[in-house]
Amino acid sequence: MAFLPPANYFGRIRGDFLNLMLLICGNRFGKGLVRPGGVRFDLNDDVRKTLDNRLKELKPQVKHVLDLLFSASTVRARFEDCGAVSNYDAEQLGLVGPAGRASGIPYDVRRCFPTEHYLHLNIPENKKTAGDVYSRAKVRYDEVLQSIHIIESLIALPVETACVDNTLNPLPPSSFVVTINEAWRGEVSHAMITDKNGKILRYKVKDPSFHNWNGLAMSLRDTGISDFPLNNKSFNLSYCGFDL
Amino acid sequence: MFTTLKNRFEQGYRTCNYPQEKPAVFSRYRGRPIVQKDAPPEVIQACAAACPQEAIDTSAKKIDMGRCIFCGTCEQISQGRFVRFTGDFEIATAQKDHLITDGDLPALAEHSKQHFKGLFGKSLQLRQVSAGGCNACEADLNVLATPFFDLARFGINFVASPRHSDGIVVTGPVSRNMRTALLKTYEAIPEPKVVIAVGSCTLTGGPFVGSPEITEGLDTILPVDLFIPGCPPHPLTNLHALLTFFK
Repeated sequence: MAFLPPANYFGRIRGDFLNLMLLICGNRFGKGLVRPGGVRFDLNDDVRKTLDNRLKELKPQVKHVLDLLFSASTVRARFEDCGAVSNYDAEQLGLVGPAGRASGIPYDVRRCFPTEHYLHLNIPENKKTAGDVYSRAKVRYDEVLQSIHIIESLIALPVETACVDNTLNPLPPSSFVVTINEAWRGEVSHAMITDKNGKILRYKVKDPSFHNWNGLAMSLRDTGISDFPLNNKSFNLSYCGFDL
Repeated sequence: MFTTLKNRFEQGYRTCNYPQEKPAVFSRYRGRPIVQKDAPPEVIQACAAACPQEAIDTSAKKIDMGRCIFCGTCEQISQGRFVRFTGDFEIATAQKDHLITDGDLPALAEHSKQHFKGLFGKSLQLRQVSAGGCNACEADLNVLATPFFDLARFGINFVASPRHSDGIVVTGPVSRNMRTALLKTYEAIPEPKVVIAVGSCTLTGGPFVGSPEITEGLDTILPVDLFIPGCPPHPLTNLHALLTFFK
């Protein structure tokens, strides 16, 4: 699209947010934070304060770069009507996450299956109707700002963290469990089967990109090759999460 | 136009000064582990039993950083009496057995291949192959191109074809589905070539050890020059490894 400043600024800002995860649990991707039954690292006042200060610094930067991107008429002209996926096609392909919401599917695990504190967050539907690159970008625009707001509201809650200890409780034997969560690309599902001794027999993770690659293929029907990179990025798909 | 300029000024200059200055990492970061050899045997046993990666050797009192996923379970269980994870992110090694450590790591610069420095010291083009990774190692390699790390200022770039590259950077446990593609990519690189293994999965199989679907260690199928441990390795770990080994 030849409008590189926002890409570079967001590249750096994304790293700053990953570092906030490291601040909480020592890993930029949250690995080791969650164990069956709870979390292993607490959100104490020091961490809260650092989080709050960093967010205060980052929030206007995010907002300004978003505005830089969305106020450029060249960007809007390129985004609008490019790679539209109809609501019908999106339903048929089972698109999830921001890509699905851009095509008018309101499904959001946080809203549709709220657990823990999600019930109290009043997450909006965030759906758009056009299903084009602009819609996919706009869903992200809205949700990035909503997410920052959610984090701010959660930091403000005076909750004391009770950490789980490191002994792994035995899993229920001969059981099958499916979990779903809204991750940043959409619905992530974990499924696990245990044997009669409570050992893991089979564990399967399904990434949102598993659904959404077909959405990209659909968006490129009857278009020029020059629309590929733009649509590809607008779906923001994972190779790792699909077929490796 | 005014918005573009205003944003540019707000962003300022963000590139870190590494390697002249080490950027600060938050205190909960878990880097190079240090083992206390005089820890009580029952504490050592408890750590080894709780380690999800079976990375602790109780008799030698060492940790295998190739297996370790740096979850910090042993540090929490021993309350630092047996294992303590430091903030040191410079943990890559040139030989696999150097990964098994009590806290002292051989200096990477002394074990790097000197002819590589001559060949690739000023320009190193790398092809990344994600061989079944979870996207964490891949993402933390990818960020090296962002303004904070700015890998290109050292003459190191990730390129879009093995034909354009001097070596491969492999992530993931080399799943059965990716094995052929990985070997073909390796073959497509002109000699002399470099192989860099990134992350616990690639070094040893990581959490997937024992599964018939993966390869337990990239070094069992390709000659690995540089081992970068972590789950995933911090971008600064990757940066240190590349600069120390090739510069």
